[in-house]
Amino acid sequence: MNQLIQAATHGDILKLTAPECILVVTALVALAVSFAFNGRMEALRLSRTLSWLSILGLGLASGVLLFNQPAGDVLGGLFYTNDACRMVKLGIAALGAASIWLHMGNQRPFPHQGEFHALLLLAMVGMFLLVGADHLLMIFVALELTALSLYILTGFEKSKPVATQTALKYFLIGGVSAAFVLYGFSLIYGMTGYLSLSDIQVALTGKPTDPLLAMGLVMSLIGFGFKIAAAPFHMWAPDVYQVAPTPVASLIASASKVAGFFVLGRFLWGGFGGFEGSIHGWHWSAGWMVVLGLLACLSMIIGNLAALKQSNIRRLLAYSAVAHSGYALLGILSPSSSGPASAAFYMITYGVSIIGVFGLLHVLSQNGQASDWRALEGLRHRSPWLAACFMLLVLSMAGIPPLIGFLGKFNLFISALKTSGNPLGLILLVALALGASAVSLYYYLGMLKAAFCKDATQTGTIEANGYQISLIITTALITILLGVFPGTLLARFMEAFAS
Amino acid sequence: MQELLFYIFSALTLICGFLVVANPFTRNPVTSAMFLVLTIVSMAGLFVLLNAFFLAAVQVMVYAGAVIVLFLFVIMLLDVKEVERQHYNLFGVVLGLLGLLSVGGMLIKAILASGVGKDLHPHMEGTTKDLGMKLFTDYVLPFEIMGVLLLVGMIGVILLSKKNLR
Repeated sequence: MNQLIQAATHGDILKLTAPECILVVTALVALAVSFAFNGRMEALRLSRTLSWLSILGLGLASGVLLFNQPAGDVLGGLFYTNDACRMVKLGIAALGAASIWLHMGNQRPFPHQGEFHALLLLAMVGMFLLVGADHLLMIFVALELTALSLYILTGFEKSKPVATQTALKYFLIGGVSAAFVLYGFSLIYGMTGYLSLSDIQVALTGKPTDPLLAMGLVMSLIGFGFKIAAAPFHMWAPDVYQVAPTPVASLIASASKVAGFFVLGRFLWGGFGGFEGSIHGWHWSAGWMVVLGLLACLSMIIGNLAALKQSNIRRLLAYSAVAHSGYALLGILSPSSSGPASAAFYMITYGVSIIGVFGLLHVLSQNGQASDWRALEGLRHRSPWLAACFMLLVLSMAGIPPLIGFLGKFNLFISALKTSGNPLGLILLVALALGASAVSLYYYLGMLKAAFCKDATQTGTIEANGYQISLIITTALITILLGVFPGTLLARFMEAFAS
Repeated sequence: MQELLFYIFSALTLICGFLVVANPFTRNPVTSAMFLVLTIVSMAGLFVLLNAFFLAAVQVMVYAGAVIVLFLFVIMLLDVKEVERQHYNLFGVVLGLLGLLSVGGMLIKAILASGVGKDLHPHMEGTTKDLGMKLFTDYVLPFEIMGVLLLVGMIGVILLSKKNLR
């Protein structure tokens, strides 16, 4: 009898986690290929082979997600899939593939390519699991899988002392935040007796707020805040963005945040739906909305103001990413299903633009320029096409119509404003977000000014290979095409989250 | 009897844990490592009080046995003697203490204010068999993911620690 149950469960688990299993197998194959051909094949060719292999694995996983994925849950709600999960996982797979494509443009790949690709894929497995997790234990394990892979990837170029140092910093801050999450989860488990989010939701309905439970919730929010780099838990972001290998930085900036936001929304609305409190004008009542509102506020202010002062473009992008996390938190705050949907949509489209910008910075640094403002100067003369793409990407991040960044932000603010009863707090937050976007225009336009109005300090055209050019042009095209024709994709997104 | 043991073990855990990081008498890293062993053993005692015998045994065998031995190996191989007395950054110390006090104060206040532990009936099950059943039925997926997590850790350690890996 017991064995029968076992067999059935394993089949079910395999069915629901097929994309994750494919990615794990791809990672193992990548390790094996690099083990077999290391030294016997030219380094660049081996690296490209591994990248194609990884993209193939991601493609297969996406195919399974698109065409052959049943909805449902397994092991009593430990892991689930539904339309929303599938959409977000597809987005993560696309962003991951773009990061690997960015890596393919690297003409002189650093050593240990097999391990590099395997870790990238395993980090993505962690993100996939995070999206499907409906259980505190699963959330923690998936968070750790993602984080551990990303720590190692950050310090991957260990010949650079600063890389090791930054990876260690990332690891220490991450370790502390993991301790907070674990303590928070254990308090939640202690107070409710359940680990599954839906069980917690049921156990909490109609109960008065327990202070110790609130403590556990706040502690878990600290860990999630670290994952999505919301102020004041953003200290690692500037260093990691600056030092990590470009594909890793773009993965951290895009896919990892998408997964973080999705699971945050799931955790708060799926587990603590009756516990949100309110931020209605000045009459706040205790609940996680107050904490999250505070995080959003701080992220928007600190992120944008700190970005104004940066001379290194990667650090600037890191701070602006903090600000973008603040905007996306508004989506999590809005109680309708369109809120988390627009937050996820916003983060995915933002990820597309930031990967494009990272691709351009990678091209510039390969042409022997450090990534400070001067690298951008005279980009228009040196390479008009790249400059045009750069303009589209940066304007999309700034939120200028008709680009996708505008649409994402618009959706976020609308979903926050449409909240029934129109709590004044949310309106104030949206007003703050509008002001913060205006401030952010200063540095975004400053980047464009450097690229278009300044004379070049260096002459000569910019060398870029086909992989890099195709990546930059594709991302720029996506920002404008999706911005003009968002219809079906956005509608499908909203629909998936509503069901 | 049980309550008395609980207080003894928790006091031991806290005191030894403090002595690991801030020992006023010596700054010898080996002493710190030995206090870490004591901390872990007293935590194993707490696990026994909770009927989690397997966890207690694992705690002693893996942490007190293997991990601390590795720590000692590293300390002795590197030949670390006395750690230099660091000049503490006053700002950092004040801020750290402030953070610690506020979080600790909140926790204590929350524990006092909440009715935790009132009319609860202890439901002790922690035998090795129960644990194994849970691990291979209800929690088989996280258990398998832990395997992947260990693979990541292994790759990372080999990659970052080896000097001239081809």
